[in-house]
Amino acid sequence: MISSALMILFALGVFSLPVIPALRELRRPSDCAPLDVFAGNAADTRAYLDKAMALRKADASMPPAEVLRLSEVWVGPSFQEFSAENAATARAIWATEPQVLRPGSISPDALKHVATVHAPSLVVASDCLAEVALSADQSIQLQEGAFARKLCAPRIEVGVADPEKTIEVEGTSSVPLTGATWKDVPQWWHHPGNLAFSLEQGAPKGATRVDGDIVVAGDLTLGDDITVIGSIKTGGTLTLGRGCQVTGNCIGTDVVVGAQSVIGGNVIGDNTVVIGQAAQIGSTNSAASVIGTQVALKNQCSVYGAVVAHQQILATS
Amino acid sequence: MTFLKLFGAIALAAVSGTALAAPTASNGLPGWVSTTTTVLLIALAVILLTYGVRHYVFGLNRLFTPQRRTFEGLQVTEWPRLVVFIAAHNEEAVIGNCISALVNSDYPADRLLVVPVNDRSKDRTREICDEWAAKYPTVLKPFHRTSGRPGKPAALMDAAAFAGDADVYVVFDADYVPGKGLLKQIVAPFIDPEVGVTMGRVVPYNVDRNLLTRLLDLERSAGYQGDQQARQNLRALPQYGGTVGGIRVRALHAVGGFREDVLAEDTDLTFRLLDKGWKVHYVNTAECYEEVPETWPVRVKQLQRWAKGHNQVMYQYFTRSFVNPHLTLRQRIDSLMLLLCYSVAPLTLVGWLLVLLSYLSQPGWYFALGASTLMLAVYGGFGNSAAFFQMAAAVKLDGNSRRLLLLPLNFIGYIVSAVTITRGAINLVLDTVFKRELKWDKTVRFRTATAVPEAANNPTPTAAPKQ
Repeated sequence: MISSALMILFALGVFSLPVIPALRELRRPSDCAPLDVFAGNAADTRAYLDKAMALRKADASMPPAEVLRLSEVWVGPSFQEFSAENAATARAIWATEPQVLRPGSISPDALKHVATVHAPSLVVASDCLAEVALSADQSIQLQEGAFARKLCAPRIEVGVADPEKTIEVEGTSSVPLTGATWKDVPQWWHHPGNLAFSLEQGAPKGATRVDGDIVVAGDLTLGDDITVIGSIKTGGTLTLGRGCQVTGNCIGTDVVVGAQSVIGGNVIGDNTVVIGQAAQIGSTNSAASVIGTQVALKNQCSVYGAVVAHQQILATS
Repeated sequence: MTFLKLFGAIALAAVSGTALAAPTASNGLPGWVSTTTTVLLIALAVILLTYGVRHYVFGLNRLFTPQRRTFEGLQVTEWPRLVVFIAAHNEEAVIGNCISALVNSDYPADRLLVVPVNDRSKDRTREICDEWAAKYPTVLKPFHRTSGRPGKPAALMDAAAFAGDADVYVVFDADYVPGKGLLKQIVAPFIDPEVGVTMGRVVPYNVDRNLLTRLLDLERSAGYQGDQQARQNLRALPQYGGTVGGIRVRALHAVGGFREDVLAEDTDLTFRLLDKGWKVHYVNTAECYEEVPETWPVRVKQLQRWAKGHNQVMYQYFTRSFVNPHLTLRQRIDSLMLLLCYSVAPLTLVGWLLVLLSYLSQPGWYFALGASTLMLAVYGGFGNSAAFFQMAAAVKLDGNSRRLLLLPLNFIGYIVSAVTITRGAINLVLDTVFKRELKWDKTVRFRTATAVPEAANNPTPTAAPKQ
C-alpha cells in the first residue's frame, strides 16, 4: 500500500516538473508580445525611398543629413560619397545622378545596414556582386557576369537589349493543345503528366496559337514559335522554345524561357528561372516580375519591372 | 522508418494480446466485451497514430526543409482589381482598426475598393464606417445591410452584388488588423491560374491577457506556421479559413458563391473549389492581427460552432474528396485527414473510456502486458504529444522560445477543446435528427476603443485594460 502511494507520488512529481517553469512563465510573463505583423515591410518595398522622396518634395533644400535623419535614407550625388560614417543610420542610399556599380564602389562595411540602393539609372558592372536591392527610376543595365539579388526598374536589361517588342497575335490560328484536355469549368487545358507540344512540321512560323490557360501536372515543353493566349502553370519544368509568345504568366518548379520569346506577364519558378537571349518579360505598359531561387538572365534580354532571386541573379551569355 | 517499425511492433503486440485474452472473461464482464473493446481500441489507436505521424511529419518538415516561397517578393506586376470585404455585425469596438489598416495598405489605390459590410448592426458600426468613407471616398464604400438572412455568407453574397466588378475578393472579419503589405502578398498567388483561394496567417494581438490567450497564441502558431505552411511545402491541401483570404471571383461564381446554409462556409468553399480543380495557396508571410477570445465561455462557443460547421462539411465531402480526380493521392489522404480532424477529439475521449473499460474487463496480467497498456501509452505518450511537438516546432520558428515554457499547460486547452468539440459533434447529430436550424453565434469582442479616421496612420489596436 505504502509502496503504491509512493509510486503514485513519484509519478505525480515527475509529471509536474515541467509545470513549474510553465506556472512561473504564466505568473511573470517574459515572452508574451504579439508577433509584429507591421515589421519588415520597409525593407521589402520602396517605403524608405518614399519617405525620403516625400521629404525632398516638401523641401528641396533640406540638407542630406536631415533627410537621412528623418527617413533613414542617405541622399547624395553618387555612391562614392557614401561612407561608413553614414552607414549606422542609413537603410537606403539614393544617388541623384546615374551610377555605375563596380566591385568596391561602396565599401562592404558601409553597406552592412543598407537594404536598398536607388539611382536615376544604374549600370552593374561585370563581377559586381550586388547583395542589396537595386532600384532605378529609368533603367538598370547588367553587364555580363554581374550578380544581384533584387532589381526593380521600368527596364532591366543585360548588355544592350533589342527595342521593345509586342506580342503579335494577328494572323495566327487557334489550335487545340494536343495531348491535353480542355476543362470547361476552370477554363484551362489540363494534362496530368509530362507534355511536349510543338508546331506541326512545315507549319509557318508564329502562325499557331493556343487559347486559354494551360495547367500541366508534370513538365511542359513548348516548341519554337508558339503563342499562348493565357497563363501557363506546370508542376515540373516549363520550357518554352525560341520565339514563343505568352500573354499571361509562366509558373513552374523551374522555368526556361527560350531566346527571342516575349512573355506578357510574370515568370515565376520555385527553383531556377532562365530568361533566354533577347527574350522580353513584361512591357512598358504592363510591368512584370521574374522570381526564382536562382535567376539567370541571358545577354540582350529585358525585363520591364522587377527581378527577384531568393539566392542570386546572374547575368550571363 | 523507425516510427513505422515502432507502430508495427505496437500493433503486433496488441493483436497478439487480443488473441490471448479474447476467450477469457474477467471481473464479471462477458468475454465479448473485452474482445470488442480491444478491437475498437486498436482501431482508434491506428487512427490516432496516423494523426500522430502527420503531426511529426509537419513539424519535422517545418524544422528541416526550406519554406516554399513561390510568390514571395512579388511587388511589381499588373495587380488585379480587388474588393476587400469587412464582415461586421455590431463591431463598433473593432472595425475602425481594420479600416485604418486597409486604407494604409500598399495595394494600388486605383485597383482597390474596401467594402465594410455592415450587416444589420444596432450599435455605432454604421456611423464609424460612414466617417471613414467620408475621409476616403474613392477607396471606401460601406454596404449597409438592413434585412435578409442573418450570417456572414448571406451578407457577403449581397455585398458582392453591391461591390460590382472585381477579379479577386478578400474577406476580413472586423476584428482583424492586416499588415501594410498583406493585400499584395495575399493576392500575388492569383497569377497562378490554378489558385482559387489564398489564405494568410492569423496572429493574435491580445496575447498577454491571460492563460487562455497565451494558449491560443501557441495554438495559432501551430496551426499556421506549423500546419498550413507544412501542407503548402508538401503540396498537400492548405485550407481557406474564411478571413485573411482571397477568392478568385471567377472561381467563386463557378461554384455558386458562398453557401448560406452552412456554418463553416470557408471549409465548404475550400472543398467545392477543390472539387472543380482549383487549389488553395497559403501565404505564411501575409500576417494579420486578430483578437482571440479572452474568456473560456466565449472560446467554447466559438469552438463548438467551428466543430459543428466543419463536421457538417465532412459529411458532405468525405467520399467525394477521396475520389476527386483533381487531387493527387497525397492530397486525397490529406483532405480526408483534414475533414476528420474534428473527429479526433471525440475519438480520443471514446478511446480513454475504452481504456478504462478494458482495465475493468481484462485480467490483471493482460493489463500489465497487453494491448491496453500499449494503447494508453500510444494515446498519452505518442499521439497527443505529437501535436505538442508540432506546436513547439512552430513557436520555435517564430523565434519565441520562452513562451514554449507554457506548453505543459496546453493540456488544459486540449481537454477543454476535446470536450467542446465532442459536444459540437453530438449537437450536430441532434440538430440533424430534430431538424433544428443551425444558428450563427457572433464571437464577443474584448477591445474597448476603435480607431477613428484621424488616427489613420496607427492601425494597431488598443487592448482593453487588463483585468
